[in-house]
Amino acid sequence: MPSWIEINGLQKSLDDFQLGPISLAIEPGTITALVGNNGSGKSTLLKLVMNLANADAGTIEVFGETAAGKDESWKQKLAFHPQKIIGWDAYTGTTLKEMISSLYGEWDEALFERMVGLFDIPLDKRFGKLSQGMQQKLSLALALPRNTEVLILDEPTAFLDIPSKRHFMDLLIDWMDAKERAVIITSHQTDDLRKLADYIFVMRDGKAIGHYEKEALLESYRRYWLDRLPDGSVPGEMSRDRQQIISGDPAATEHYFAVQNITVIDHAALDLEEIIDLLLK
Amino acid sequence: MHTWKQAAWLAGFELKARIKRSLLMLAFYTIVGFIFLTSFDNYLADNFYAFDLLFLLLFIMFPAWMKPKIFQMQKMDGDLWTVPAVIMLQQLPVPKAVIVKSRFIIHSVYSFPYQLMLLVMLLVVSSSFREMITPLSYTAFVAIWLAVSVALGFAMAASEAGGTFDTKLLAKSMIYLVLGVAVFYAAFQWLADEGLIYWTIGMAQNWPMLSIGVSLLTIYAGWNYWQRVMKKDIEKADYL
Repeated sequence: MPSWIEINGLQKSLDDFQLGPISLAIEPGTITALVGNNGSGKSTLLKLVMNLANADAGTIEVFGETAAGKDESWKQKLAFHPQKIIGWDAYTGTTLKEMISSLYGEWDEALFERMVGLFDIPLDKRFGKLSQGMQQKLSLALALPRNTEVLILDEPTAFLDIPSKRHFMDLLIDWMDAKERAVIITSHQTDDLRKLADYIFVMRDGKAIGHYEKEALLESYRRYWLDRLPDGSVPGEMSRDRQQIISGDPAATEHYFAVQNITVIDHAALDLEEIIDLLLK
Repeated sequence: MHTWKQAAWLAGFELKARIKRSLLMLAFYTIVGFIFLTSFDNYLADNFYAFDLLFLLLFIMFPAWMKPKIFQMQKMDGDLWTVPAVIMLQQLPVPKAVIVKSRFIIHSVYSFPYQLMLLVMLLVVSSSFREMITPLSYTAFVAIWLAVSVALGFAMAASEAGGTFDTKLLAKSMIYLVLGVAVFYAAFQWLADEGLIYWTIGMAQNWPMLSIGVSLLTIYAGWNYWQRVMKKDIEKADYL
């Protein structure tokens, strides 16, 4: 199946920051999480996809159209929830709903009302007067019901309380199940990534570290507790601490242990947070 | 036409959001303008410079200042300056041409009604002005000043596209702009030996049809030129 979004060799330099080259494809039916340290360029990448800035090199194609081209109709198929919402402060939730819903042919009024009720959003208050958490809830309630093929969420749960975060996760999973769609999400919350992501695209200081299938990534790292630590480096070794070794290539590591007669006392998979931590080091 | 319709619909949200404040501002400045215009006869008699400056401000800068602060050009992240609506609408499925037109509609709402009211008040308040001008030359006079509003004032609307500007450079540019206007004005006074308004009255009296024609052409050209400039600037800018 062709990719819905295709990024090839994308580069952008900003003062002393260099993004890219980045290549990434977003396929239908997938949730891709962009993960990276602060300032790694995740938000910049998303804004480039939305054609809010000009790339220095490389291309972005959205549904076969060049994002920076004359035809802007592809924006009908994308809903963007930015990390920092600009321009909404003067409007009430009701006004914003009136504006946004009219711009999307597939607007789901029932879902909007459900989210407003679930998050207890006051629609008569100006956006600028709402707390950060409530602003985020309203923004999400105005994103999901657009029913676009692709949903781009930049830190969607950063200010949500725990129950709201859970509600949003459930809504997003239902939303994904209802139709063939794709989500790109940036988040520092590993819980979000664990529950939602199919693919993880790791970035560090503007550079792409790798694009991984989440389950494969989880299986590719293992921690071993040993009776003794070998002196030399172990194949696949990522780090060692006292009697533990973390391997990024379990098959090679286990083979080495067998050959060297090193007894593995115990072993366990790493959780996603630890793996990301290792990738970002 | 659909583009203009959608632009007007979008502009309506911004205009309605602060309508009470905008009407109050309009009432306030109408009263201030009325008080000021009562001394217009002095200008005609003694070439009272402040009137020229007032007119230039009203027809060039004033519409941008009339807009509520929340909708005005402001500093975003880093050195990015723009009007928040330009970013907001680009995140929605709104073509850039529609964004430009919606900004022009909003600028027009803050420009033409007040400027026209001022030009009508001038006729009502100043007996000397009434005596020296015929209906045709008055039409030409109005057309000249509306042309100034579009040709120069709508540069302010186009500038709402914004971009990345160094704050020091921006301050320097503003100083140069003020100095430029001052030099132009001084040179004009020296060459024409009369004020700008007086000169435009003369143009309207002596060549009314030509003034109307040139003004209409200027309005048409300025209106289209500044839209093209704004669209290009939006395409060029990095809203990061």
